[in-house]
Amino acid sequence: MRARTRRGMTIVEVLVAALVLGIVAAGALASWSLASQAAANKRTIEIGTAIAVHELERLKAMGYPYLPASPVQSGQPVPTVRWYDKYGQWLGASATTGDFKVKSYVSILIDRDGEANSEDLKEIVVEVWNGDETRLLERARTLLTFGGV
Amino acid sequence: MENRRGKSNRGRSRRERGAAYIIALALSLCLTMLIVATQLEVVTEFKVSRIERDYERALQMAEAGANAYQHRLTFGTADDDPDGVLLPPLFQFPGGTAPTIQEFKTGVLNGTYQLIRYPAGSQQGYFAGTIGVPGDSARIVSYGWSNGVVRRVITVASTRTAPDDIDDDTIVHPSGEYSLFAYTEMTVQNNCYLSGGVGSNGQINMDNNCVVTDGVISLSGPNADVSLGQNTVATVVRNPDPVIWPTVEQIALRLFPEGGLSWLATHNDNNMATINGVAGIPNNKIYATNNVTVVFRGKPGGANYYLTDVYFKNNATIRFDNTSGPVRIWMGPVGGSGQFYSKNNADFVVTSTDPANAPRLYMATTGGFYGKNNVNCNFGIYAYNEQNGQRWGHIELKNNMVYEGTFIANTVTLKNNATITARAPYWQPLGGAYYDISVWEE
Repeated sequence: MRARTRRGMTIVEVLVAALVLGIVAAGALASWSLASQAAANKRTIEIGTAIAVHELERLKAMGYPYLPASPVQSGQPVPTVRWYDKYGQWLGASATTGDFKVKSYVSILIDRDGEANSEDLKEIVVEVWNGDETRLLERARTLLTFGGV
Repeated sequence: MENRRGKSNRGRSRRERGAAYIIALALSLCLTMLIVATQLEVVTEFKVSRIERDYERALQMAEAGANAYQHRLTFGTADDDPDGVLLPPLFQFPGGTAPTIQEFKTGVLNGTYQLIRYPAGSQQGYFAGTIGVPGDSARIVSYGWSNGVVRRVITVASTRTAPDDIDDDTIVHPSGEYSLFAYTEMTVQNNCYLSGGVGSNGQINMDNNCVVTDGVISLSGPNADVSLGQNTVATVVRNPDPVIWPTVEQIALRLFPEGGLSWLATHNDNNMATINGVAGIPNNKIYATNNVTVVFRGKPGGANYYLTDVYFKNNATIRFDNTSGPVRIWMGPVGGSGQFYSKNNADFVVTSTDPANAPRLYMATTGGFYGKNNVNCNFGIYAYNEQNGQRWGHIELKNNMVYEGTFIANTVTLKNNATITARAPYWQPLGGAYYDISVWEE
């Protein structure tokens, strides 16, 4: 009788132990999955940042005089759109889809005389989105002036 | 045996009871540690990723700040930026040095430096200022901030000729032409007549029958003010930003990049000058009294004379033979004590009134220019200097003085029947051009 009781206890022990292990293992798996996803997210964000810097520098390199303000339609500036692949490579001017969608805006923040000229303070804003434009990965901006950097 | 065996079994089962728990808990602990370590790694990686992103943003902010500051220097404040939302206030880092990044972070946190948040309300922005007073060139230091990450950019901007659309805009550059400009202080008393613009970044005191015609009194910057006393006639206008003038040393360095005034001390045209017909200026000093005649000759491109002390008195004649080119007289060394002194009927004669060949006197010394007692003078005097926040350069005209030209100095005193008539603008303030950033370093 005593031996049977002892055997029953062992089964319960094993079952509880298995349950505990199962819960923890499930947590570990979830954590592993989350970590994998996080790594992918991190890479996406980093590429997004790199693309934003690349676009910003590209626009600045065009030079203040050759960077007109974005056209405006229905009161909203119309961005220039460029596409990049998952490695952060530009897909060319003819591309209409890709892993990263980059929207660039140039606007005049200070206009001293109502004319587009060297006295304007311009702003460049670059937005990097995922391919289907559901997630904004980075929005970088800077100011430009005549004779500036 | 049975008893012994039974005891032994009981003892072993007692020892074995809970072993599964312990193993399970040990495994659980291991897995939990694994989970925690994984999560910590993920958090750390994300943190690093954010810092890298902020590091890039901080650089863009720093460059945005440098550009905004350069824009402010070139064009002044803007009507559509009335609260300084984008354009930083003019600021000089005290002591002539820019703070380190750590000092700057501390300064932001304790309120010493007010960030311009760009865009408004965000956790990123910039702060910019200059090392020293902007002149022919400006050393702009700009700090970019993004979520506590700071980067610093140092740029050097030099003045360039403005493109047409800047040149033509009188709203941006209200400085105009000056007959007289005193950077820090001007005193005009007793029957003085000024034809042309009069300006200051500091205090102007006019009293007792003084008149400004064919121009206005321009008060520039927050420290400028005027006191108009008895029977003074002048129109006063105010400009938000100080007028920026290059120093004598900066002008010299632009004309003589080999070393400015120091170079000019040994590479000048002093041998073209004559004192009573004798060529040369011994020891770079002139003491001309009692009917002595000194002739400074011009040449194409300009003749440059370097003097350390000048004294004209009692009917001395100073003749500028400037028909073949401009005459420039440089008083040095920078910060030296020499002065240019002329009194008692000293007569300045100019052979050509062609503005392009106008004689000009540049004073880098602290001694100042003094004209007293019936001296007629026909040239421009430039006596504005600054080093480490200290400004000097003085012009003083007293007792029946008649001058034609442009007079720029740190401090000016006119008394007793002094008349100045502005001629072709010998010097324009730096606002007439724009700053072009040519050097960038982080």
